[in-house]
Amino acid sequence: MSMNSPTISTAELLTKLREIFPPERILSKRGQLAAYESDGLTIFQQRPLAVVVPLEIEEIAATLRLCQQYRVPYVPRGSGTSLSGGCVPHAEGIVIALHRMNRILQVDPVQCVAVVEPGVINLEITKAAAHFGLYYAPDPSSQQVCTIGGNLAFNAGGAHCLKYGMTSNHVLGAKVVLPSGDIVELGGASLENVGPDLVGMFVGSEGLFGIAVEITVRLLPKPAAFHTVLAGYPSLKSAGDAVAQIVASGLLPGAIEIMDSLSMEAATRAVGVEYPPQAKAVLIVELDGTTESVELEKVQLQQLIEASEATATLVAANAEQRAMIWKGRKSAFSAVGLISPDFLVQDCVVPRTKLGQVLEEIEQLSIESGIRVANVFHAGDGNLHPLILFDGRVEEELIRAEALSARIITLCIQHGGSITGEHGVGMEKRQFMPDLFGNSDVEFMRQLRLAMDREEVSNRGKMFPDGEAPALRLVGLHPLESQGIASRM
Amino acid sequence: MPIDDSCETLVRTWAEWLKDAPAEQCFFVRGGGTKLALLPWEVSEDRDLPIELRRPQKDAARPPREICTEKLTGIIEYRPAEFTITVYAGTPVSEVMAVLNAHGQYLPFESPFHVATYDEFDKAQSGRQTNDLGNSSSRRTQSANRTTVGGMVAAGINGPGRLKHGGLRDFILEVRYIDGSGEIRRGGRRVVKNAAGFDIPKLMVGSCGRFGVIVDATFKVFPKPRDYLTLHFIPEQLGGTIEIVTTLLTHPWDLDAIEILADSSVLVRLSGHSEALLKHGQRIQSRLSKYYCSFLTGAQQHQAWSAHSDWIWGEPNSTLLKVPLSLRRIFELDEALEELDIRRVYGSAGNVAWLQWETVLEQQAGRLKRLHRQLLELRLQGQIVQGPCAHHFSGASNGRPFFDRLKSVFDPHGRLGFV
Repeated sequence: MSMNSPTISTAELLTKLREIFPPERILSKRGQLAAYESDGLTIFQQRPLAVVVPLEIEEIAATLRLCQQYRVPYVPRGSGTSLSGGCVPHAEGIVIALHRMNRILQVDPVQCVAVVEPGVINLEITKAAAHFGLYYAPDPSSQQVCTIGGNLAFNAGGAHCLKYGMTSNHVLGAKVVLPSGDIVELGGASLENVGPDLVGMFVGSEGLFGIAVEITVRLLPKPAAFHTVLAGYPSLKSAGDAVAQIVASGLLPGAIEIMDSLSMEAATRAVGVEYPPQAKAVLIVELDGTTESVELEKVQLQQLIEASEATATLVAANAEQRAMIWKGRKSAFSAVGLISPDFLVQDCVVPRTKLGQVLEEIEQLSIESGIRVANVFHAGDGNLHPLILFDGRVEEELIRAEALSARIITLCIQHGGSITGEHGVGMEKRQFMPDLFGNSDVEFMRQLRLAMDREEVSNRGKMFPDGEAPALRLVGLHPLESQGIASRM
Repeated sequence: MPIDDSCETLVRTWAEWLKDAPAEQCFFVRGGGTKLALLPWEVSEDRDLPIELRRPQKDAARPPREICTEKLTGIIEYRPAEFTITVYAGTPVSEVMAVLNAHGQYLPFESPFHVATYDEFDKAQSGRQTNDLGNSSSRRTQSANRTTVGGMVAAGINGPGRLKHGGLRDFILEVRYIDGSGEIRRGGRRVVKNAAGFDIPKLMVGSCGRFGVIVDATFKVFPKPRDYLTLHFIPEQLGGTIEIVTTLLTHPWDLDAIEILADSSVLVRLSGHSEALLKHGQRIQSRLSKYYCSFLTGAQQHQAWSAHSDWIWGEPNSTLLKVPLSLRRIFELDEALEELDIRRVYGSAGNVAWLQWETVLEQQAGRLKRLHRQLLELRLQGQIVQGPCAHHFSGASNGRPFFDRLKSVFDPHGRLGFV
């Protein structure tokens, strides 16, 4: 038991929870808890004491008051797709599972907003708005399963961020329950605001400032026309050079993506997408807008690609072909499971003009470590996703993969980038926060967290480097533990 | 451009002021001084304000100390290929716009203090111009040239371009600031995508200096559209206005800006390739053919937008109140304001109301009180941007517990901004 341990026994806690929830919405049996032990980053696993499944805002507020009173750590969870260990439970805490708070409360086609509960699946918002010719722009690769509550907590991105921004740019308002149990409204349905942008501050706070229970998101008119091009290149560098030319031309494509040969191989095996033979990299560029503007811009884009080192070009002739190009791109993460027993998904950012140099350096690090790295990334905004391939059955390969991952993150910081573009810090990257922001500013952020949550019960162990580590490795010592970064409870 | 030594000396000096001053000593930041409502009454032009319009002071014996950013100027780093620019807080917005313009880039939210879109036209024209809508386009020139980047962020005010690409909040990436304890801090990162740490740059937008003294800020920039075309719809009643805007919003027309003018007519701006704009405009016109519509290009277009901006910002002796809104609530607000003799326009497709009236000192407190009551009843918030007032926020106050907890860390003694 640590200094921060709950001041209530598990039995007493369950009794108190039963005063808030009916029995069928409190899970505490071993089998019931298994599904909540980890998230998308499976190297961290921890069984919580219990899981509660709220349906109403007041149930959440009462739970948070209870947790604050008895110092019980809690983790809000949507679909559990976090790739940074953002919703890994705490051994002495509970999980607040929000997946059943999944109502779309309102779609307003005139104001172009939707009001949704946190458990609504990202893609469901677009489906609900489609009838009005509207859509929800942020499109993380997991958009078919991830929830908007999780997207908000970690400021999720997607392939269209350069032009359309991240989740924080599309959340206009939120009703939130603070860790104290207070319910406050931040922002609203308007595009405008007076006073500081409190909702902007809340988005991306990784659950440390509380739980968003009603979220107002902006909807955009679905573009009238798309033009999606896939071009093959003899190297990652030549594909990167083409990106620089496109951006310098003044075009603002909806998306600019690059996949390397390993990613292509994986996507081909997973979903059958075919890529230009011998291509070492492919560039995907998508223009969107009015019919007239896309017609003109596609000529400009074609000229730019022809002037680049492209070896082959495929233009999506219809919606099906466009969908297939995106299916290959969005399946790349999970598809690498077909070419490697295990893999780590990295997420970091570099200034766009440093892409070529950083990719070469990553390749060199890969050779030195003997660990393969597949690259698929949002080239338009410099958001890299190196996929570090390893075999967990081979002794110490995970440790080498983790070490390589750390070197890549450090590399990105040295080039003026960031440790995460869209997955958040979570557990995975908290030790890099001081490298990015400096000790003083990280401590300042921790003071902000304490001002909201004096007992640090809300998603304890995330974002800050010296927090308790709520997770265990499957077998033996976790590499982070062996490095003294994480510790067992 | 590297960090400027003289600027950094200033920053360190201010940090020392904040560190060394007693807890009761308040501070305020003055940039270009273009938003007098956001300054303490002691430094506003009229020192004879009625008592009920004066700002309350934390310590009557200790007037707030001014931090003037007018010498904290310069572009620290501009990387056109990265779509980012970093500038000191005291840099005039007009200078930033000129530098971006030279590289075919701009800040799409269009700070209303500088109509960046029409820079070239501005340069070609000199002196006063009276436009078709009966206004002058040079009245706010002096004010526009003085508006600083820090003031723009602290005030958090967007122009017509907010509708399409987002507001200032969506383009600020990193901010360096001095907190209330005198520590120089940084939030965010100079890259166009970042999900690490709390989003302090966004918090600074609209904060009116209450969380820190902004030292420098980094923005994402976009390529500037090649050309613009404006459609001016003139319906007979407000109902027609709402129908026009609703139709515009529910079609995939990729519109740059939609503004509702005081006469209920609607300015709609399209941007892109010149060749595409006319065809695009004709398609919109044909869908709304029951309303009179004229196409504005060149000088006419420039004048129409300048007149609109002047209407909001160009009246020196007026009070200006910003009220975030939604299109559906325009009728409600209109009805509530009927008896108060307040002029108004609606920006960003009805997402903001700009309420304006001539400032009469003897009537000001009473008028503000009535407005505050009306906004409370409608559950709306307002912010006085120009004109004398004791409190520049009005109406409903949302998110207070969240604000207070943040404030307790950024400024534990409550020395920044106004009490």
